[in-house]
Amino acid sequence: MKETKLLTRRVGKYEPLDLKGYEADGGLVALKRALAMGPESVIEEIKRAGLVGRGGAGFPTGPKWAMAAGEEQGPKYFICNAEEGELGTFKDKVLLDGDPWMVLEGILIAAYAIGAKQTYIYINGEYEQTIQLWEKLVVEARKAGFLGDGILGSKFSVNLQVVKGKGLYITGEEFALISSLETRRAASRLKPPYPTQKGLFGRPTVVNNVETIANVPVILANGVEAYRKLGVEGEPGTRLFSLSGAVKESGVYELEVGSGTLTEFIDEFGRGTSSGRPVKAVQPGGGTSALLARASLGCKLTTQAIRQAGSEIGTAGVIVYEEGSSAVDIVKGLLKFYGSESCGRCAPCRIGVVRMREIIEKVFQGEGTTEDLEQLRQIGKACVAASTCGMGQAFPLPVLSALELFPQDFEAVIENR
Amino acid sequence: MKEVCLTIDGREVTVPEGTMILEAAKSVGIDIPNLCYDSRLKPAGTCRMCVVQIEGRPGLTISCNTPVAEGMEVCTDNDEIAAIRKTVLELLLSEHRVACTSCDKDGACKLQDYAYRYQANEGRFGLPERRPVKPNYATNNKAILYDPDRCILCGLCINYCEEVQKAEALTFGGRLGQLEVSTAFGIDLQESSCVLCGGCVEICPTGAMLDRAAIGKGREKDLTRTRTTCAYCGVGCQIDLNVNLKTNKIVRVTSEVGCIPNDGNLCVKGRFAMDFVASEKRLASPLIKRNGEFEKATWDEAINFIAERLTKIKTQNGPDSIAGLSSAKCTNEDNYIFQKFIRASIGTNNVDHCARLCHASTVAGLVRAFGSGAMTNSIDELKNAACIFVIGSNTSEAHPVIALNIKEAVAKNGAKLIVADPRQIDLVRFAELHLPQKPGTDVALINAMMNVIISEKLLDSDFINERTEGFDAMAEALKDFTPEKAEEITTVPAEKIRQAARIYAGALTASIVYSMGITQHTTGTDNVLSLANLSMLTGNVGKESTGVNPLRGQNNVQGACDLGALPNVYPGYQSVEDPQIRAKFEKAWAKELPPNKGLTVVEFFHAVETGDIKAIYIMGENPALSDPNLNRTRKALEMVDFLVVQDIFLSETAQYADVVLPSFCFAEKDGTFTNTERRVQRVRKAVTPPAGARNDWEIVCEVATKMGYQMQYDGAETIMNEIASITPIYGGISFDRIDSVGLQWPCTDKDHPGTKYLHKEKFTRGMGKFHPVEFKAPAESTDAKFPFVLSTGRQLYQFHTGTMTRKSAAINQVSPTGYVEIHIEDAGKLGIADGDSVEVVTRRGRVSTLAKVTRSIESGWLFMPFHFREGPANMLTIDALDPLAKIPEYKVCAAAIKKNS
Amino acid sequence: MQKFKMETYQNLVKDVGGVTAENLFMFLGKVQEAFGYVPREVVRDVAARTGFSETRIYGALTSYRDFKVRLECDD
Repeated sequence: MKETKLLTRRVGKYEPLDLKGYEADGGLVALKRALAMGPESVIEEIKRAGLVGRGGAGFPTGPKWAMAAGEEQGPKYFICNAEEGELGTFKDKVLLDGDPWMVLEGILIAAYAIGAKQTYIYINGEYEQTIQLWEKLVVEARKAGFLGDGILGSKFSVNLQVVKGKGLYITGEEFALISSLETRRAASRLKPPYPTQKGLFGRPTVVNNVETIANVPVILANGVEAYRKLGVEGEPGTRLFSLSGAVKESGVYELEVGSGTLTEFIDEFGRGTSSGRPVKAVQPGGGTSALLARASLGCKLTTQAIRQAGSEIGTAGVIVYEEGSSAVDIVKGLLKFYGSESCGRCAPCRIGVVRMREIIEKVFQGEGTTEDLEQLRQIGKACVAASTCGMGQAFPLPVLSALELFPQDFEAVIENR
Repeated sequence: MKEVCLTIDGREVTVPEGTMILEAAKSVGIDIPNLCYDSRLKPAGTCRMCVVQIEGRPGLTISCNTPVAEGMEVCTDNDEIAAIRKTVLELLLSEHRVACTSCDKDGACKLQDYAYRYQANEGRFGLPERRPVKPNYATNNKAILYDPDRCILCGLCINYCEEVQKAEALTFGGRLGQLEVSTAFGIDLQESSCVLCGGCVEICPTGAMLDRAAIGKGREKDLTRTRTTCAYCGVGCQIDLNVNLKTNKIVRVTSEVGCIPNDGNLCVKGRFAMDFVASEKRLASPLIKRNGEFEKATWDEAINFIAERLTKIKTQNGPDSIAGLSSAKCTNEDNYIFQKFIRASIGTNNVDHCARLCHASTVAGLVRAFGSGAMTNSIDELKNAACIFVIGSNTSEAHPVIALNIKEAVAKNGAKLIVADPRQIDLVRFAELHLPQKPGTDVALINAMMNVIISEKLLDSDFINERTEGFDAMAEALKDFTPEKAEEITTVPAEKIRQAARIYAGALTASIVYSMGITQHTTGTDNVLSLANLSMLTGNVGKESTGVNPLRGQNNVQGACDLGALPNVYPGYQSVEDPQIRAKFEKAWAKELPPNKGLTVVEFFHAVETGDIKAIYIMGENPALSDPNLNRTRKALEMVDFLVVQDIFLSETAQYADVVLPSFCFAEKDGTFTNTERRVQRVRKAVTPPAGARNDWEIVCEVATKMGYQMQYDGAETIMNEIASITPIYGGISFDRIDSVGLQWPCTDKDHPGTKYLHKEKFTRGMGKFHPVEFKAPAESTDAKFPFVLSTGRQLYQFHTGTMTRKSAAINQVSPTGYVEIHIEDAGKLGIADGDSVEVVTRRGRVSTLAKVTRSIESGWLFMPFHFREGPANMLTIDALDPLAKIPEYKVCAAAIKKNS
Repeated sequence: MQKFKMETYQNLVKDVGGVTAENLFMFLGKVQEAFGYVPREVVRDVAARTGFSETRIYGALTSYRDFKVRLECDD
């Protein structure tokens, strides 16, 4: 198993602010091509490439652009979501720091395709150096004529605002992010209408994850055929996997979709578990993805295969837990984080996440009962079934899977009372 | 609109495309549980109780925000759904820290209802304890209480405040754990942008927001709801008086979503100003003034005394020496009886009421132009107008619920709003254009708009040719009235006038909304005629969502006019000077009637000075505070030989009376009011009146009978039947027909459905008539001694002379006393700071009041509300009259202002 | 971090080339960083500049962990 460096090809190869270095290494080809093709053709190429979002929800990118482009005339917005707040996920930072011009090129192409004049990049507030870099990048880009009026002598004008995230997990959710930029409360919203219909300031808006947008220049520069040669049927290209948890080597690795199994990935790139004990469980798609037990780790690293194994590829943040750790600890850790991240907008998530956190702490203290475990299941199910956004629908998944896969861990603390 | 067919719980349902599942279910009587849905708001989707299962879709879906689709199969309740709802309820209850036992909302709480329906266990996640009480934004508010321990954070109050009322006073504040409803920075509600409409209280599904004054006064099971019509402005909001029969007190006021015309919306007055009904100051016995002092008298004494004195004056000086002031606060039935008494029993047409002071010019103008003097269209139609031109109406304060329709038209349907008003009124926030014309220059503004419309060929020639007459003469008169000329007169930039003309004329449907900023001028009739011209010029009358729409000020000022409390017409605007009509009434009333029209109200008082009027009978009006140039009015009240005042309080006017008669207020009466959109609506008795008081019409009947003219009725319904029999526009009105929703006149017979908008195919007078209108300056102009233009008017919290509103603690907190608005620069020059005591002086009087320094008024202009007896604006106003309508010029006089030392 | 001064604040406004609906959130972030909180005067001022209500801006700010609407005491 080896890395396929498609998006990360230039990472570290040029000084981040050095536009010439970027251009010398094949940069800006895509943008020039896009401006020559016209917006409809760009969208068509992205559709044909079969690109799907890398932010967690996996929505097809081309159709999303087409929806926004198809809305009535008037202001439209493009937002690059660099909040990257999901647990176990730190891949976008690699691109933002290592090949920012490529991300910017992707943003410009997206804005051009949908007809947006104002774009935003909303960066996780903890990535302070990244934010500084991007603020400088905007200045450089403006100087070089890549932001402002008449990009590369075309009629296309666009601006980019760098926005520092405000330390909230929920602003990674697209509507919460939009609300943020509107100076509204950081909270999700009902859909429909979707952002492509009524997004930022009530106008059609596309929100794309950093990795998603980084695919765009690659597709346009290399051509759809070349792009589709990588990956598997229905899921072309590569994916950036973040690997963390109980492994010897954490990191971000770009893999061709379907190039290996979870076990291989953990063994070869993570060099096995920290202690050398066997893997106990894995969250393959960030902190809100269901746990997979050891027996399921033979699945390929594709959306379908992971789903069949019982989880989701999500943000491709692979979190490894080793034997010896208790599922109670795992769940407690997760709920401790999510338990203070609900936006509070809808009842099940707002109250459910807090009650679940309280219950697991009680169980952890050895004061739990089997009734408490049932409560966890019931609340979890209600949140999954009835919450507004991805957070409420997903945070209980690892809890529910832990209860199902590792009942003995819970029984052990209860019996030990 | 396309229809969609789907199945809900096995039942076929057909609804328009775009309908949400929850609403579709509701339309066939399937009640999907919800704690955050309201038909007036965008779906909030915060409670998640309304989840349903849709065949072919994974998991559950909320029904409040999922549109129906053809062939969709929906299941609204099964074990899986019930389990989820139960858990959600139990989660909500785990944060609901107050038991139902002491809650005022007990029995009217949706959380309680659903907890019962799903048998939710409130202690499943542990019984939460009450948190230490912290002050919040409502702690110091006298109208509203907020208890975060009962709040389920559904957001309905916030959304109502933002989406319907558009006050944006409330928001969620804080993060998970400390999340609660708050104002900005937690400031007191009364310091915020809240307008105290109380919509938040009513929409709250639990007991988190309560009407503070109602606490402990009765729960749902203790209360009886009586549907009636609000007794404040002319909107005619349908209100439910929640009365505790044990105490005979109105505990709170609610209103049902879906009711016409207000859709459950109310303003501060309808919601929080009913304290007057049970006020200790209510009159409970007739009073006769002897040696300058009031003494209690029996009803027999009082009636005999009045009958004797009036008979004597009539015999000695003739019937025309007596005048009657009827009341826009009283019911149609009261007004009908009153004018019948004055005409048939006394024998004079000297009957008038306060419409003279508000919309006499509307009637004079619109009758001349169209043939009918009422609001042409309906309130509800405003929502769908493409353009709304508001001129001389501070709608948000004077007709708050109509303002909601205007705001909705702009926010939801993209209507273009033009506001012409000297002040930066609330509606300006929503306006495409604001034209701050100098007070008293409306004709110039409207003429210039018409000049633009004609010169830019934006007029509707077909309409003008087919439906109107007199166009050429009017167009000729406008020829030189360019926007530049108007700019000199009005101070509104010419370009803005052009824009306004283009927007108005360019809209598919354009409605004109106006009120007393148009009518209360010596050129009031001219102003109204100009607006009528403007509407006809563009074909914006006689069709839906257009028209010329005067907003009537008092609850029943429309009805008082309709029922003939006017010196020139019998009920239904039938001329007293028309022999045929007179003969009809003489027959119906079995009495010979006077052939000449009578005097108007301001003329009554002037005629007292000349000795022509010797006696005045006043039913429910307060001219000693409401009429212009009060020094003169009050002198007349003092001078008149005999004054009878029939009222619920010992008003400023009653103090001058020889006899005072205590009467019922609206909450104690059966009858009808007619609102501004010509809708005849029921008024129903909700509380037992004070012992010793009597119904207005009964008192009048007794006086008439005692004077020898038999007037006897067994109830309001009988009176309405008599009205219907001789008043063609009310011909089809009966209590049965208006029981649930009123009827809009003209409604000529029992099968007539009422009239949504007037002049549909033909104007009431046949052809619409254009009138050339010349600009005339106001009666009084500023000079070195009186350099300011003073306008008077209303404010949101008070009503008329304050006799009712000022009994409310909630209102007194936000509107304790009068003030004069002055521009910040003018104030600076005169050394006046906000809140300073100042003296305002005109040629007629001087008044001390407080300065309100603001930017919302232009430099050089002053504004004073007229409600306050301690700083009565009408000491200052001029009693110059419109020559046709005899309405006084409340809106313009010359004034000076200085800081009190 | 510096003490709130209207003058310093006005300079921040100048630096971003005027406060609009589109850059308000980013701008408030700069105010927060400069003074350690977003004072009520600022909320009032930016409300007037953007047409957003003070209520909305207050509600928004309090939903973020990194915004403060009051100067926090050290005690």
